[in-house]
Amino acid sequence: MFFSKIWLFLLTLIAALAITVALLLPRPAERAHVRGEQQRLAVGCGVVNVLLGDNARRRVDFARRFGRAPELASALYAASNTDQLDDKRMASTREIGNRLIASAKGDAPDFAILIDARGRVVARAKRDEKEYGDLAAGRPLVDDALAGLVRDDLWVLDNTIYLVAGAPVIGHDPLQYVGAVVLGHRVTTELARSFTEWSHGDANNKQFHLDLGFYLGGELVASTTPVTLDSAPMVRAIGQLPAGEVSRDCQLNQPLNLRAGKDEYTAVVARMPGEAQAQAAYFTVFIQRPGGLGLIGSTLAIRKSDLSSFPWALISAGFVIALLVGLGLLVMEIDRPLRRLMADAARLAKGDRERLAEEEHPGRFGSISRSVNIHIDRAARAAKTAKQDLDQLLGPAPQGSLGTIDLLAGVAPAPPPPAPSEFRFSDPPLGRPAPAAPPLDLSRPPGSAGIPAPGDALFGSGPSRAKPAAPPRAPTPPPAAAVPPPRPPVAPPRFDEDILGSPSARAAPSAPSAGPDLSSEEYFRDVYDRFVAAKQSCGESVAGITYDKFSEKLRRNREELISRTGCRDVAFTVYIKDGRAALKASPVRDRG
Amino acid sequence: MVRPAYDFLDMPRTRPSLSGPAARSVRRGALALAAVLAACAVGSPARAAAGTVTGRLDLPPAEKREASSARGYLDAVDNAILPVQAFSPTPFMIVALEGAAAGDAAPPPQANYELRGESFARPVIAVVRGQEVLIRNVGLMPRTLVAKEDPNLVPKGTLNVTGSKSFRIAEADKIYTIIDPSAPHLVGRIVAVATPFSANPDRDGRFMLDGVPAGTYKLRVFFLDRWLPVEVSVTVPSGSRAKTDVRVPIPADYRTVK
Repeated sequence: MFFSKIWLFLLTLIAALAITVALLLPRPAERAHVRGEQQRLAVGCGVVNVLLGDNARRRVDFARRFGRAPELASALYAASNTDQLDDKRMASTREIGNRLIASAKGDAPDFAILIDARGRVVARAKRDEKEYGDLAAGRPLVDDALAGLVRDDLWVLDNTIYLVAGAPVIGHDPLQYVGAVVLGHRVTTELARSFTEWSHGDANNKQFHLDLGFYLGGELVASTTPVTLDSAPMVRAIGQLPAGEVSRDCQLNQPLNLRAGKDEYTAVVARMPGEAQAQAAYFTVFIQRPGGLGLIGSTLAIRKSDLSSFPWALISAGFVIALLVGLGLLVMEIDRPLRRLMADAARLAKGDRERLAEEEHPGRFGSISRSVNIHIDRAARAAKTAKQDLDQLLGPAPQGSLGTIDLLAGVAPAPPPPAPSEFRFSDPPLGRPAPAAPPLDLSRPPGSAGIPAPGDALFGSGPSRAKPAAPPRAPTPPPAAAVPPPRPPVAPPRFDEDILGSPSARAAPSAPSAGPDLSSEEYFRDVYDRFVAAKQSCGESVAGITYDKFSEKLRRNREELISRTGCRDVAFTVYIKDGRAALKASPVRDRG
Repeated sequence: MVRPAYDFLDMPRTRPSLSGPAARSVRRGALALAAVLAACAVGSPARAAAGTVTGRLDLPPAEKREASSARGYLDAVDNAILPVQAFSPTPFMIVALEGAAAGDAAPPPQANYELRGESFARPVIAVVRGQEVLIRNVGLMPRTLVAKEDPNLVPKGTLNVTGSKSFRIAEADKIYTIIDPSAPHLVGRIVAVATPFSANPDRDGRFMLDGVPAGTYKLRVFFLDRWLPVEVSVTVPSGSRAKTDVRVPIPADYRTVK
């Protein structure tokens, strides 16, 4: 089983390593993915800034061309030299502005403000067209344009962000500044989309898809998507940016994790410059986070192409090989030795062998075999010890052992009398099977013990061996008068009957029930007499067997048996076995 | 030659084209204010015997205008046709007389400060201590004004179109910056002076102070957000037709000196 254990350990280790790798591998990939996202967002943010600058350049160029229109210069020149502006002048100037706006190809401004040299609004086109006469001077863009500078700015009008451009209006006769023009483009969804079209790629590559949203504080102004992001984190991020140059916001800003409903987004925010910056105008470039990273996310992200290119054959072959090796090791180290042990145990049970063959069973099975053999040896030693105890009980017999005392015979509630067939009063006649001798019935009262009833095996059988009945308690030879009739032969005892007694004997009621006192002197005397008679009937010598020694042995054995088995009393039975007198001690548990 | 922006001294006080009851209300208020000012001038005996101080600020050579610090995505660039106009500091200047000789010359009861859209009529005005300042919104959008130095100076609340807010300057020699937090470009300054004899110079630096009582004064010049280190002694002789002409040298580093 050593190699099976090693194999199981290796398989478990490989499985643990595989699970660990499966759990850990997505993490570096996830970090790389997040870094890629951040880089992507920073690049996208920077690109949007560049596009906004490019857009500003186009708008400024258009404002410059707008300011050079001769009719506009003439109108503003006249207005600048007029103290009081009126509706007629406003209308005519506005008409010029609308014509110029209409001449714009494509990206026409959403409004135009026409300002005279004093900083007054002479007319407005496309927005608040009826209002004029107020001072536009004061705004940095307007002041710069009135002074002759061309520039762009971002204004907030009616909670909307406008990209504005300003340019001076120069009169040609004489050549002088006569006013300024301000053109505004509203930040719209279309504008936002035009800033992210580059990220959409083609049909085969949509990995760089960015979304863009313009915000004014917490309010969304325009976005490429209907998604409404949680603006509070963005406002906080804007507030934490260092004051000053805003062009580096894309690099300084850390990506934000934002929520919009159940979806999660990663965003980078960047402030918008100009006047709008004071009103917390900013834009955010964002992408939706992948549905899931980690093990589950990576698993769900598996594509068919991943599976088609997977080395299935190699993995399957490895799995089959590992399975076969494991099964082979199991067969070699467990299955076969177990079957050998089972066969060996069956042979032991059949009696084909007395012990298990330890050397044939390796490892733990050998240990099992050794344990079984040890138990077998112990049982044999116990039987031998019991025999020695009986020898000690009965003293040294001149012609061998006195017999055996079967201490286990009293497992049954009452000790059965030995089968009559186990006693032989005399040798059977030639050519005829010897009739079985009946066991000596110890349940009889001591007074009658010396006179066996007809049929008792104690007195033997056969005419040549017939002897007169011995008087009670007489150590003289047993009487030969009462010879029982011949009995049919009985089957030899089975394998375990020698120890447990015959089934009929075990089933028999307790012999000494309501009998004599088994510890009385009379009882021991009676047993002594019958034992001596049995020995004499078998032709055995009784020299050296005295009643005192016999009774002392019986008492000692009785006490020992009571203390060992917890029985109430002990009955002794005299019988003949294999032509020799024998004595059996049977524990008595219950009289009733 | 067209009049440049911020030539406010000569600029007509026209308001944006409002029509209807609002315009009539504004006109009635202006007439009433003019009547009050005329009555005050007639009732002052000191003004009858006062002289006139005229003068000119000797400005250093005009410097090239720098683009505003606020910028969009591009830097401001010069146009290709005409040179960029030089910076003119006079709209941001005040000339004021100080001295005990002014006595108890009473200023007009109100100093008007008009908000005309994206800027005030003048970037800076002088107000005598104790004089009431009336800020009127004649522009096209409501504003929320506040004094940076004293948030409680300007009554709180929105200054609606055609509306006004008044407050009184209690301390002399104070400078109050009036702003609209939502429009950083909108800045007006109120300078508290000791006498009612102050004026804004024109684009060339010329100024004129009428009704100055005879006596010796100290002439100071305010620029943008501070008093320049310029002090010129002016003595006004007695006589109602007396005229005093002064030349006030302005240091070359007036834009940076503190």
